Amino acid sequence: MSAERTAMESEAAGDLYLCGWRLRSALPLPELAPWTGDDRQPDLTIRTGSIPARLDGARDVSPLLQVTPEKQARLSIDGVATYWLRNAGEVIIAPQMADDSPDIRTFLFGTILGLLCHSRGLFPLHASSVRIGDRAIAISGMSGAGKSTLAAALTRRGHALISDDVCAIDPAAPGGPVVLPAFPRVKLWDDSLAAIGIESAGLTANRLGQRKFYFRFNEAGSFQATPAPLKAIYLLASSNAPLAGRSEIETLAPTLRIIGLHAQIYRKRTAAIWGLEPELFKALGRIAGPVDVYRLTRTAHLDDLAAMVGRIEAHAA
Amino acid sequence: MTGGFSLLASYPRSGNTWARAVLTALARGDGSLDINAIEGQLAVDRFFFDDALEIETSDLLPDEERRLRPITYRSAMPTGAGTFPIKTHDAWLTAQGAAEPPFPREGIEAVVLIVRDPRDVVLSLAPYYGLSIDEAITAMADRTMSLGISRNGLRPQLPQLISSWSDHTASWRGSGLPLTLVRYEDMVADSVGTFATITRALKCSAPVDLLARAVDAARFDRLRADEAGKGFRESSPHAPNRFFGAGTVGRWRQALTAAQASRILRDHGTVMRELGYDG
Repeated sequence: MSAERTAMESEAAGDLYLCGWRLRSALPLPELAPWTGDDRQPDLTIRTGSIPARLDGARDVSPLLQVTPEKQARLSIDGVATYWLRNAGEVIIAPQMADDSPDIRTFLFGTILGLLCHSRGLFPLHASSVRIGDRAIAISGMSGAGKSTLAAALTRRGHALISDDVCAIDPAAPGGPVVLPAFPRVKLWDDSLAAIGIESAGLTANRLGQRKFYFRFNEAGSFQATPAPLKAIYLLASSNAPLAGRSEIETLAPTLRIIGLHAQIYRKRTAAIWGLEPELFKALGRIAGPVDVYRLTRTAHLDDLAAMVGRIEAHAA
Repeated sequence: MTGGFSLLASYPRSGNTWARAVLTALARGDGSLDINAIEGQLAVDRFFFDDALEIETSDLLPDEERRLRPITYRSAMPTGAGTFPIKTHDAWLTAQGAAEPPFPREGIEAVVLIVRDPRDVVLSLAPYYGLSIDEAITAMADRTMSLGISRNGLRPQLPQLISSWSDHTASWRGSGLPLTLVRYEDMVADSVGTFATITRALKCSAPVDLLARAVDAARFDRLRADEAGKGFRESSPHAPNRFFGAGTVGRWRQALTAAQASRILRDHGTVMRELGYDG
């Protein structure tokens, strides 16, 4: 009896924080912050185990992803792992690499995190977010638009990181939409690391052999560990060349806000199959009302990074 | 596969975007053309693959991206497919990591292959990719040449193997696909007639007067003026807002040295002679 209780206590002592959830994981997740909240039961458990080749009643959203009407999902990344979102509180992982391989976490903190948000009533925006002053801003856009780079550069300037790539918004929080913190880690390519002045030697690679790395902010105050009210969303638009008549930060009209935010809903095809579109549109309305939405046009050049960071700081202040 | 699609294939800097501009103006029908709203899905548009696969392709390794390209097209139709061809610079070759060429063969309804004299191509290719003429000649002879690959950062496009100019051209011509070959030089000399051939191949034939209006809307001087005035989002970071060049034929006679011209002829002579580029 006492041995069992000790084991449970030690498990509980290793519990982690993710998007407001108490998480217990059989896989090491060194990116996450420890759970420091109340003594509730875990909201989410991650186990390892075998996964059926085909989920009952599944349809293929993509060659890699099966989903069922009961909000289950099965993601398969050859050579890395298979992931089974069994219900809103349980993820099973069948690794094809060592349990502590970062490659496994790359997809866990990507598609699986996005689907968890959908299944748990949060609104996952394809965005990175930081706290400026006492409120959150989200920097949103497609892959390669510069979300992580801008968020990391802002964090290096003393603002606290809230999330990277998947921004979990609670649109129905009392007092207005809030961002639920994920973890103090960004993913950056070599060129972005160099532009920010971070040495890549010794960093964990996002994928084995890839020059994209995990960078964890360990300094006190560099991570916002409690939900933060969402003040503004910047939708990144990239252009290879300067476009005339396009000032860098533009306020968007209400309909363009909704269209722009809808395009950046993370894993929205699965959410639609799960029948969540009405909820998502309701959430869009709740977010686009009180939260300012801007279009931020930038070139792919990293040499304007410092100027862009300064502009966002001044704009969001 | 939910339906078929057609391809607008070419080696880079051979008139593909011009053709898309004419087809866009034709689709509009009112003679208006916004160069920042030229239609046609890019075959390697990362956003399409992220959306179709429901993962971030930036988390994939290049071999995985190349393997998944045809598989993705098999399960998801590109936006606007069926009405507008997909633009590609791919060669019809099986790239490293892939099990087949970059598109599912059974889904391809038509291919329009645009070819251009490689001696003119090189003059456009060099500034576009920030290369010297000699470097660009070397690149055009490199059978492993790929776009969308960067070790240190993310490219907005997935990898595409374009191979050498000769192998690019030969791979499509030998593909056995329903292929219509058009020469850039004929698109310039007889624009309306050549675009009639292109639209017939793509099963979107149009009356001559509408074709003539579309060709006029996408005249090179207009495209250049538009780009100078408004900027062009598809232009190269190496040459911002200098995407549309002179568009002329035979400029190589003044711009290449005799050694450069003969080097290209030595690298690509066989295919050049087949296409009439031996003058």
